[in-house]
Amino acid sequence: MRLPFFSKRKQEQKKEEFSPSDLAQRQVEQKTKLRSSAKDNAEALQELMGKDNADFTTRELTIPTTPSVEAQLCFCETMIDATALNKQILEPLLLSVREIALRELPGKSVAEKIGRNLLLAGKLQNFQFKDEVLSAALGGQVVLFLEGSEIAMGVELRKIPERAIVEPQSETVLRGPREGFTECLSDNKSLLRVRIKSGKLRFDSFRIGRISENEGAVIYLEGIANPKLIREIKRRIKSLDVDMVADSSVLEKLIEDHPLLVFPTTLFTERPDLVEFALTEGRVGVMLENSPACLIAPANFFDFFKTAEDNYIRWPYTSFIRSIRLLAGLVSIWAPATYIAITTFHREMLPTALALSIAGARENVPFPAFIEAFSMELILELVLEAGVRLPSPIGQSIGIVGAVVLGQAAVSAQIVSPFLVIVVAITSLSSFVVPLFVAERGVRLLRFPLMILGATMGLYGIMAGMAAIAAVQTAMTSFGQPYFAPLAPFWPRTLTDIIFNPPIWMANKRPKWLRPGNRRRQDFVVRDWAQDGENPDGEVDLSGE
Amino acid sequence: MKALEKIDQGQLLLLLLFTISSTIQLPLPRFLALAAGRAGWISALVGSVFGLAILAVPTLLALRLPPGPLPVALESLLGKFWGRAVCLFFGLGIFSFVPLMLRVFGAAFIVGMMPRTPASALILIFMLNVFLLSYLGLEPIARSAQAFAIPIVLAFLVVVFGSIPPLDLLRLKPWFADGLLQILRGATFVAPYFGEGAIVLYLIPALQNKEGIWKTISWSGVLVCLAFASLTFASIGTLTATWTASVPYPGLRLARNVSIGRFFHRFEPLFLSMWYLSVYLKTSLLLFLAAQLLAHVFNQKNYRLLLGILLVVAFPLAFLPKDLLEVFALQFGFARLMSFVIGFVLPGVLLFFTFRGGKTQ
Repeated sequence: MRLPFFSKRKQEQKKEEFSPSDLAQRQVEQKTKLRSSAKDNAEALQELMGKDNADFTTRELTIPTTPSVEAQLCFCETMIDATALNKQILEPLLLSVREIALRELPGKSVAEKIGRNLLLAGKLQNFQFKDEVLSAALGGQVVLFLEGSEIAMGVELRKIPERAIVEPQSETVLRGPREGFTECLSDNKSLLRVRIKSGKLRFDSFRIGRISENEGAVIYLEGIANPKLIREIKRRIKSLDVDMVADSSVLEKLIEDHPLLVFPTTLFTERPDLVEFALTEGRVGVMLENSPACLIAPANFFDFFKTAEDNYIRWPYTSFIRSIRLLAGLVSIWAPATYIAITTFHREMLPTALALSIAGARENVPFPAFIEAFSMELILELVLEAGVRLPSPIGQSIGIVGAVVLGQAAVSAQIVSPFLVIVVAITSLSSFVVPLFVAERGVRLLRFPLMILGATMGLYGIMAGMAAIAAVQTAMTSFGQPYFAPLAPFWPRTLTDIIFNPPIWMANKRPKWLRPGNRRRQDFVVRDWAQDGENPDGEVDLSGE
Repeated sequence: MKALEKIDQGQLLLLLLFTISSTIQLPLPRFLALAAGRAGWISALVGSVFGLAILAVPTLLALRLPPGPLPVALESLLGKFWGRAVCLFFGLGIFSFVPLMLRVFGAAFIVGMMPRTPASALILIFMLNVFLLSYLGLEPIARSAQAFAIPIVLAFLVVVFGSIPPLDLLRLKPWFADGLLQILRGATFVAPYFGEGAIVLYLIPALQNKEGIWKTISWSGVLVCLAFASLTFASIGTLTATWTASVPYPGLRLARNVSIGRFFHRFEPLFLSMWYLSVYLKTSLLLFLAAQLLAHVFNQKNYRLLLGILLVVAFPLAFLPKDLLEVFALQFGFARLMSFVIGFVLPGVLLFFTFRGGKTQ
């Protein structure tokens, strides 16, 4: 569903300005076939890379077969493994092939003979066009041009600086796996492949960015993910025409349904186990080279209240903590506004003793409740931002300073009331309880307009604000699926998943709202041993053994 | 014309519930107590039974109309001119509720919650909300009804059950002290409002699945009946019939009496806030329907432009009644009559045409 306030005329105008014709022209230019001269091809590649490009190397060599073959080797030295280059290409081509008669080797062309018989490469690709060669060289392949051949060969010898696989800082768990994605796409793919050893796990590759040419993959389980969803995600990615996509968070904003709103409509995680859970539910992941986060779509509002650990701890606690998180989500948006509304407009709602206590505490505070709360919330945001920007040891100190200054000093100076400090503290605690809420700080912004509404119109204003927020949320979609499902539209069978996390042996079906290709997850009776007539109670007598 | 959005039967039930019950919920016990005294709650029950019969007429018509959205179906049934004429009447009829509801809303909030705030400010904020939701379309309206259903129902139950401790059955007895005629008189206050259920003429064609539609309509009628009867029962049982008849909004008075654990009390701001949501849903739906119908009449492809125009027209109209008594007079006079006409008389006539040879589904 398209949300309002997007000018159609503007979009059409934009289309005209960025007509794909120039892009198509560029592509035609680049789709130039290679020549038969190895030197010409190498020079053409050098030209495309820039003549003074320091990290691009061209090496001329003569392969001493009978007859000898002139060749050109091109590569980005910062992207490849030099040892592997020596062992897998130079040694075989220069040392091991002396006196080998090329004619006796199997294969039709010279390129095929050399590629099939002489190169020690696990993955060998043939290229016909210049742009293919260019992106192969930039992607860490060593390109071999042979004299007299219009086909170039690419050997994957990529080696780039990588960091170790560590637990993601923002998604730590007490129980469960402790590995996280890195910036290397192939490593991330292997982390998933290790978890899902099924031929149905698909990594459909794509390249994005005119300049950056980032590699990425659409990840899904064939037969489980809805084919329409996969098509839609690929369609959106394919239609993008941007210079560069630095991170998956940028890609998220380019392909999500409502990029102007504060609510995220795509999940993201750095945990392979969470991606595994998502894929087996029928969702689709998108990963990018240089980004440790995997995007997961579609997502609904309530998905942002779930954590990785929910899958590993026992269900009663999960259910309890999920309801706490939902409550915390509401508190984090509502609490300051409600404090302002009740202390300003609806004092009668408070029990007399509490009302007197609050009034007593606020007696010497010079500001109205709104200024008091608004400034405290702003200062809290400042402290949080400072804590994030500074190195962690100093960041912690800033947190302590902030707490002391905001709490004790402000109350002692009678600038704010102690009740407000409690409210602000509860608000910030609540906002941190909600897992992915924290990452999407934009949502926390909502408390500010609500505070203004609470200060001007009391509960009436807050209700008006919440009604508007809910209206937008109910109109939102995530890749075509309603964002507020399963509450609105109300799907009772999936509704339990908002709070209750049923034990894995009871979750026989995949969530309906995801419209997976195959809804059945497992057999009706998972714990078959418990149904077994031989040992129905599960009691095992080990004494006789 | 905007493509017909789809809703499900649960959403239809809630939309009907909120449309019929929301606006008159607050003052209804006052008028039932005035008409039928302590038997007002029985009038609510009897009136709801009559109301269900009224609600059956547009439902039957919606099921017998040719396929497609209401304007298209009316043109198929009556021809282009008469189809559009009826569409115009329906559109204007539904729109006529909007300014009244804006005023009813503003008046209730001034009396119950914000006596020092100008009604115009309250209504303007409310209009912005209504505009946004009706702009977004039928599906978001229906989904918002689902999202807000739980808090609205909870607030209602808190008020009704919270009044049980001070409730005295002696204030309600003898049950039939004022005679059957009084009860029937009270029932005539309730029944016509079920005519607001004429929204089903638009909503039933938008249903994903029409199976079990009568069950849904019946359930919505029963829930409205329970809401009216329980609120009136609690008001008269707690406040007495005389007091109920003398306060403008007995529902709010009840909310004021609620006290939970001697800590949570004075629920009227909370109750009014929830009432706000139900009125907001109803007004948004009616504005959306009016704009859709009038857009068809005036050959406007996009109904959204009309939303703004209609609201601009509705705003000054909302201030025509001079005081609360005039608001009540319109609410229990004009609105009752209009509900009856667009929800019973006109659908009844159209139903006759469908039986007479018009195309049916």
